[in-house]
Amino acid sequence: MAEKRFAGLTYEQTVIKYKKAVGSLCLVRLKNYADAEDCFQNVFARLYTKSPDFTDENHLKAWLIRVAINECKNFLRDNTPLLPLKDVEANSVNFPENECDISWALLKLEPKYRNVLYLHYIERYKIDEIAEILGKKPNTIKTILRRGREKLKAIYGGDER
Amino acid sequence: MRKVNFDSIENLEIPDSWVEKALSLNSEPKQKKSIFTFPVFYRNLAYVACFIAVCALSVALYSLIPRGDILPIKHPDVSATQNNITETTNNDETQNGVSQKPTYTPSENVKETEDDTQNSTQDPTTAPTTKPTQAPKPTEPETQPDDDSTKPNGQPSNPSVFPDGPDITESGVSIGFVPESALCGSSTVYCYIVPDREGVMSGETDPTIYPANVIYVGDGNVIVSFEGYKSVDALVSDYYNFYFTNVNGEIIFEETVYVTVK
Repeated sequence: MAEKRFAGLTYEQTVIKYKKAVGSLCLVRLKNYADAEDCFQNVFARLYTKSPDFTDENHLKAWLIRVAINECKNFLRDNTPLLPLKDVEANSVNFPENECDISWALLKLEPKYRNVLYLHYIERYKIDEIAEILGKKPNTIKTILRRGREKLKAIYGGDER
Repeated sequence: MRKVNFDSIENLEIPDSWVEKALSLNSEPKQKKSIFTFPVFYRNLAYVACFIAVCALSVALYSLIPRGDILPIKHPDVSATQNNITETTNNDETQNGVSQKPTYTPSENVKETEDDTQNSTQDPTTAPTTKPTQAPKPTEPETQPDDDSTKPNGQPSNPSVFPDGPDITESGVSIGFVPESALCGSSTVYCYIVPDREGVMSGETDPTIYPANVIYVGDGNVIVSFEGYKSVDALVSDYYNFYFTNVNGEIIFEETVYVTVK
């Protein structure tokens, strides 16, 4: 049986190359390691089973991010917290409050703003690309990005980058 | 102006266990094959085992069923007329207080003599089994009946057209038509049989007489035994007149029966 390939990459190469992008997105979105791991596995399981055709690696990465966001949405919708609070806290993602590193502030934003800010500032996507990934109009993404910055500024209490 | 960053998020490390688990999907088809072929093997094995178990159970049940209890029991001392129950019954026997027994012979010949009432206190079941001493012409049978073409009362000679009669063997013949009143009054009952052929009854032909012993079983069943006379070899399947006599040689009961020589 021929080995599956995704935009020229084997499944193993794909997982290793995009593990950080998918894993970080799941962690930022869910703020919990255990939940993020489940979504992480679901994303790559869907990639393996569906085996869609990708034109290039950008297409592959955008597909993985889109699927990761959907998996996180589905997870939050379908799963109510069942773990004891202490276990949830032990698995939660926390960043120390730092004047320069505002990752902790990003986690306090609403998910809608968190996704756009993450894609824009961490994954370095442009507004049009974010609009294509999330299936929204560019102007909508612009608005979300602007409001997200304002909220982030309010939380952080400092200047925007 | 402060320059902010998201270094904490960018430097997030993804645990290797996540990657290993994701990569295990790649080798899952092999595991699936082993997972799904394993039960199939045992499922087929279970089918074979069930089939063998059913076969063994069937054999065991077949050997355990007491078939002998289900099949009709043939009592060795009871006549064939009892074992081959037919649709006809003797109404005369019923009228005489004897339980109904199936017979193969017409009941017109049954008649009671006045001697039946003599010695009425004698128990018929204790009737001795002795050789007849005063039977008329008690000669050993030596002649074979030679003419079976015609039968009395216009009955055909082919035995196959007759209902199966009582079987006659060396030990005798068992018949079940003798009324209790016909025998119970006689202390000693003798019997001889005569082939019922044309001319015998009218005296034109000298009848061949086969003496026999009588064993009264009860309920109208009588075993006519030929032991000691060696006459059974000369008998053929035919109609025979059964004559039961008392010690004086007087006929107390007679009946015509088709017997089958086995």
